[in-house]
Amino acid sequence: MNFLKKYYMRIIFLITTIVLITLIGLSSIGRIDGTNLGFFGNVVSGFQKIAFSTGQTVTNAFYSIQDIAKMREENNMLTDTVHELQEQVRILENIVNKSDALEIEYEMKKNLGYNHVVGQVIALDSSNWFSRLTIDKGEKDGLKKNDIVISAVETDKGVVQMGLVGVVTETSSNWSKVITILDDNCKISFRDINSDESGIIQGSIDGSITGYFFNSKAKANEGDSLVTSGMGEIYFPDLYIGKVKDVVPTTDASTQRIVVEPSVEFTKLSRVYVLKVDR
Amino acid sequence: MKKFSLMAAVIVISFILQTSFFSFFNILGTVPNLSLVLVVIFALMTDRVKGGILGIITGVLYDAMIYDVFGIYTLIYFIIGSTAGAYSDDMLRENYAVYAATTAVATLLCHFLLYILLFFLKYRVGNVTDIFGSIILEVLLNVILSILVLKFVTMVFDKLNVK
Repeated sequence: MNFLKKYYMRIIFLITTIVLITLIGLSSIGRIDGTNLGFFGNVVSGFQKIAFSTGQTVTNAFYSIQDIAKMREENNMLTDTVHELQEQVRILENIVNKSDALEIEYEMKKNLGYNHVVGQVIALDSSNWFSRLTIDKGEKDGLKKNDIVISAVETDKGVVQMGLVGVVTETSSNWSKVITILDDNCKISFRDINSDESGIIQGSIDGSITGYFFNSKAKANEGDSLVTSGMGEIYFPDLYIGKVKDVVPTTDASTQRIVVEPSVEFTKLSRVYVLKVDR
Repeated sequence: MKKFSLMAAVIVISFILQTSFFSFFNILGTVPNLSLVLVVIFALMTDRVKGGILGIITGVLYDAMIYDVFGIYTLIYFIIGSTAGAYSDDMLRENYAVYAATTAVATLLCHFLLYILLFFLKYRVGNVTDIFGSIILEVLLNVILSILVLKFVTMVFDKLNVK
């Protein structure tokens, strides 16, 4: 009894630690679902939304002042790029239209309509170890676990995708948690558009994305564009991931490790499109 | 009780600001950890029990609102809060250097515990050296922030007449 009296604080500390470690273990293997804090969680997410928008407005105002000098130059450069791209589209359409099969596929892809919801990022993980975010849409908007999150813009012709952001890992009534492609826990099967070879990429704790090809003889070049391959049944095929930034030979010299530059700028991410997937 | 309730409210507000507003104000990609700084300051101002409970409140918010594995941050902030609280009686509470030094140690402990936990959760923590620079920068930022926050908290508590 004296022992308990003397050390009860340490015993409570130890028991709490053991309970929490058990919770981590059970939660990591999916035996218990993460809690979403119910009404309190909704209130907190509401305030997060306001604080996030305020932060964004302040930084945007700051950058706007900083960027005024650059804008004219950038505008000229963008106009030139648009002209170049328009010419490229004309050439590609000309090639595609010469083949009936390709034309049908082109029309299908051009008109592909996603059942989507537009969400706003309300919280970002700012630690080094993870890359997670929270968005302001949840079960009430029809979101489910494993729905795909992309960065996109909506034009008159429909949704134009700019890049893959990640996947929904957990939903609450009014908000959802998203794991981004920069996170160590996120693995994606990709296809190199230029070589048509497939492989796997994975995020890491330092926020870089690296991967390798299934075929050890496959070669990648800097600047190759990567899209999702559709394998694994989580991601739709052909969602744009980014470009190959670096190709590093591995120690066994028979395979290549590729370093990927994602097309999405995660630090400036605010609006996302969640593609609802019927599985 | 009034003091503890106020501390819990400040913890919730700091979580909201840390995960949303502050994300935009990073220095070389590193954001100081206001939640951690507050847990350390409040734990040193109180005792191990209150420090531990405030740590648990902070951790639960992070685990529930952002991460999908529940308990990682709850455990880390609980350990930091209760440990800092346990030594609070032995420290000179008016000395800013004590808060700054404890914040520095707590930041390093936080990353060390994350490393251990993520290792067992099969994260690829082998390339941890790549984020050493960010961790050191975070330690420095947290130390500076701890002094500013302590001044602010002391001022608010004085105005509200909270002892």
